[in-house]
Amino acid sequence: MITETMTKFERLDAALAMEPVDRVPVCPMINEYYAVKQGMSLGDLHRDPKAAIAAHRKTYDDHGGYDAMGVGALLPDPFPLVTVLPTRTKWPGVHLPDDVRMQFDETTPTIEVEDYDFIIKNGWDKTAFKIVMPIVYPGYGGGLVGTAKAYLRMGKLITGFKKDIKYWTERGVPYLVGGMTQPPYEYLCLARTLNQYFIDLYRRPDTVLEAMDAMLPDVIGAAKRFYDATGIPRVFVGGTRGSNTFISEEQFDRFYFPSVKKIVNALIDMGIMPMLHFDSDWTAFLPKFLELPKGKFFMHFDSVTDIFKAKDILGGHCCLMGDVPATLLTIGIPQDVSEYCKKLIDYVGKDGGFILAPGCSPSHDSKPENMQAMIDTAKCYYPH
Amino acid sequence: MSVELTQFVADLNEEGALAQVKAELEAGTGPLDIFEACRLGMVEVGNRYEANEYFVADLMMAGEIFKQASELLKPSMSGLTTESKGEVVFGTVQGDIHDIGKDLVVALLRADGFEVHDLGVDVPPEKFVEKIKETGALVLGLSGLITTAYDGMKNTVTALEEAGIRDQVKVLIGGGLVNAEVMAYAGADDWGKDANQAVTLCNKYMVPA
Repeated sequence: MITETMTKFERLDAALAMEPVDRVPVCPMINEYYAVKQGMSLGDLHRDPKAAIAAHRKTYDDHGGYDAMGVGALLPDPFPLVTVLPTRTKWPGVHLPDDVRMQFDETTPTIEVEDYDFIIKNGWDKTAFKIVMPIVYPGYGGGLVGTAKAYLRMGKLITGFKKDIKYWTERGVPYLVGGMTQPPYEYLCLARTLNQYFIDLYRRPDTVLEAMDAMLPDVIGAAKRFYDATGIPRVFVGGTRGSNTFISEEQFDRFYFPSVKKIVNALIDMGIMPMLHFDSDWTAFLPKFLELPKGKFFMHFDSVTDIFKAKDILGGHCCLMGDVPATLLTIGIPQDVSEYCKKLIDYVGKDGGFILAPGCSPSHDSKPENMQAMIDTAKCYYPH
Repeated sequence: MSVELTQFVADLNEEGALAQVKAELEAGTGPLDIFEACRLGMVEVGNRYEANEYFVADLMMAGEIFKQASELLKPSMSGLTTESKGEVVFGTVQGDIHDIGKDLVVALLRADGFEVHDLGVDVPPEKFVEKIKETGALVLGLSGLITTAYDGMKNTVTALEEAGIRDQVKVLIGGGLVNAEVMAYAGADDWGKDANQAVTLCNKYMVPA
């Protein structure tokens, strides 16, 4: 074990600022895994929030602790996510068997082509509450009563979230992020369904651009609301479908990056450090992120983007996080997990600015011994 | 054969492509020839995807254009048959309901001339076995986006073995979290990193074992 000379708060802040650390911090970004680790089913996770929170805490202790918490505590009742994930979702124990994890159902859109006008006139929040919520959560949103119900439920969940943040803060463990938002493109791509949205980019590009501009204030406002409620000066900004897996550089420059820049700069002006949690392949677009303010944001990859190239291009510009692959954590062996983590620590951790983590969040069926290998490697191995 | 039509499809010019299909039909061009011109456009789309000029969004637009062109041609094509490259059974495995990737692959395979039996999502192993026995298809494509799919793929391969037909079919896997390790874990024959590679692999393996 490396002798620790920093608190977890100090270690995280230093890594994000790309300053020297006593050792590389590890943040496992645990979601459903914590329930399964404690013998709960995925259905139980959502049926019994109290047991889920207890399972989350026990999992931390079972693994000997780690350096920061993700937003796994929000998972038991994912209702607040509906504004960020505006698509029909199937949940274990409700729509799916108890041991099958949640999945998006993009067979039909929640936003139709005609609804673009509504978005352009009213922005995203009103659209999410009036049009999307009644589809994804019947009985919520829509009119006055449904909207009041939604606010009450969200308020209760935010109160619970703040309690969890207080618990971990008192234990000396920082929360990595205190809220979520994403570029307008990602909201629309989910709401229109991936297939229909890409066809929209061809058939009605100006309408899509106008709608995304109209959504920006609410997208930024969502991040601010979380910050005001939790006090955590970092917000998760999700991205997947704007990657080079899905679109060309030309489409990225036209439809995606301009709003990313606006969101990142607006959040920085409010004192928030955006975490660009960018799944799928962004390798070809990495140089673009040099246009964002140095040291004021960080990036988390899911092991599809080449994180080693990211270090070559963005090392010294922003902190990088990742990227132990889901395949390695589920069907790999501890020795292989540890070897890969050492490779990451040596290369991406060189000269600081690195947080060891799974790519995205670990699958619910990750092997506990593999998760332990990842955590232990961070605690025992210094960059060579 | 209409070079303009092939070009319109390849360039993802929806308006141009559909107008050209209608014009060709009115001019009395044989529907199979019009269909083939569209198909050649899709082949060029695939080439541009391989060359990193086109990406998933472009494949989806191409699929949409091809689907609409096929709809326009359907009334004239009834009773006529296009030559099939062979039969493929496809589906998302048990425990996984994601279908976007699967649907894209199925569209590209059909555009490339394969007869595809799409079994949908959350398909239990025995359903795949049944369809392989019924059709004699030489290729089975298994799709999955989440780690839960690994066991669905493995169980399907086991079911083929238990039915005594494992040697008669090539099992290909694909999806977001699939790689060579997953292929080995599942006991599959090959894996594809993207939709276009699925087409390449089906062409490669569409030979009797």
